[in-house]
Amino acid sequence: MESRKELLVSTFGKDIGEIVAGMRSLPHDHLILVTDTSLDRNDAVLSLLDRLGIRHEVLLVDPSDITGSALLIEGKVQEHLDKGWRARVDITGGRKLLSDAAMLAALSTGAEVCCFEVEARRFPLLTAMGVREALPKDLAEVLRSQVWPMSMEKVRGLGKNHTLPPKLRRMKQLDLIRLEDRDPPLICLTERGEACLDWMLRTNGLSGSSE
Amino acid sequence: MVAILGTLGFRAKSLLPTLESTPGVDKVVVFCNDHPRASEALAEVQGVCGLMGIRIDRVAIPDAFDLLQAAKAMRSQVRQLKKDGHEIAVFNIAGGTKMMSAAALLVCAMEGLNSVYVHDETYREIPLPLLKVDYSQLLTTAQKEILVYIWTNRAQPMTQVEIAQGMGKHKATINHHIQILEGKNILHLVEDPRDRRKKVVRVDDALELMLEID
Repeated sequence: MESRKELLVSTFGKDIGEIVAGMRSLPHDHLILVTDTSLDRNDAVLSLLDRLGIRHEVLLVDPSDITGSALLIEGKVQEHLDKGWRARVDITGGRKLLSDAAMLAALSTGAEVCCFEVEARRFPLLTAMGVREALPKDLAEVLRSQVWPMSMEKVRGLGKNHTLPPKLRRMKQLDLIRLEDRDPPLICLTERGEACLDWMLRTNGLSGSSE
Repeated sequence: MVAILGTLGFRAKSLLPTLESTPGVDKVVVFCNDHPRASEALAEVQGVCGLMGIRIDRVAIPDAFDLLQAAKAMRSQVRQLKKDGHEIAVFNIAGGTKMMSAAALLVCAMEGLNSVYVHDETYREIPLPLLKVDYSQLLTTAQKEILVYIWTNRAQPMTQVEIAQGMGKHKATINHHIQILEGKNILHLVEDPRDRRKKVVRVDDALELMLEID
């Protein structure tokens, strides 16, 4: 039986040492360097990877946008998982924002998280637990398709058998929406709701989990 | 009673914006280690809390690089606060080591808490897209029973046949579930050091936290 190919995603700042421990101890058929500064072809780290014959690519992310950075990493990891690869995310290198974005991506894809800052630490996440998994398909659709804020009067006016009110109640339980006591009262997205909607809108083809 | 949680490193500024932006806070729980610079940052946060009339509790994280231990300490605090009737408004994950932030993110996902990141240059708060995912709900009762059995006997890794015998189940049933669990990356089949022709089942320490079998 052919063994699964291994993807290693490593956050990288300036120092080659940040990625060496992960590179030496974690299997990898392909390495993705996540960085917030563009790397020249002659850069020491790329030169080393070339000399070692390690297949690699550089993923440049915007440090001011943690969600966008996480999404880019998630996209790369998911692309490999879909092809049957195993993925690990090494959060040792680079600034903290990079590591947090990588951790978000790991949570979202179920990739193993590793850190070699002081000593080797590995933490398998067992399974994905991102927005994609946690948000049921029907609620994802409501979040995406409705105009926010929504008038409470409009919801009250819907028929008894309409499917929207029970979905809204479930969204409230997930802390995605809240009722704002205005005249007339409004159903608004919470900060978490806005963050999840932002994540969904930026992710192509995200459809939520099936219940 | 509204509480906020936060990981704290060397910069109080990574936590202070959340104190200011969260309405009705009466308690702050800070997770940090014993580093002198972390203590300085804590003193600054304590000073601000004192001025604002907010109670502050510090939870020591002895090893700020151990994700599992940090996550367990955080989860335990979260549950205690909930038990005491606190509403946890948000968990600020911006401070502390990378592993502390990672642990906080994990706990937010496991406990369904709102999480926020404070940008290290702009000090702007950024809500993070996390929803509650209950790992233990992703498994069947039979799978959980097998995992608990393997976890309880982890000191002596067993083959699938030994697990079946120990649990008094049919070998085919155990093999079937173990295959599924391996596919989910929850356990691993590794070479048996006693007999290289055989494979034993191994589980990670993370299982203890994820499946709440601690």
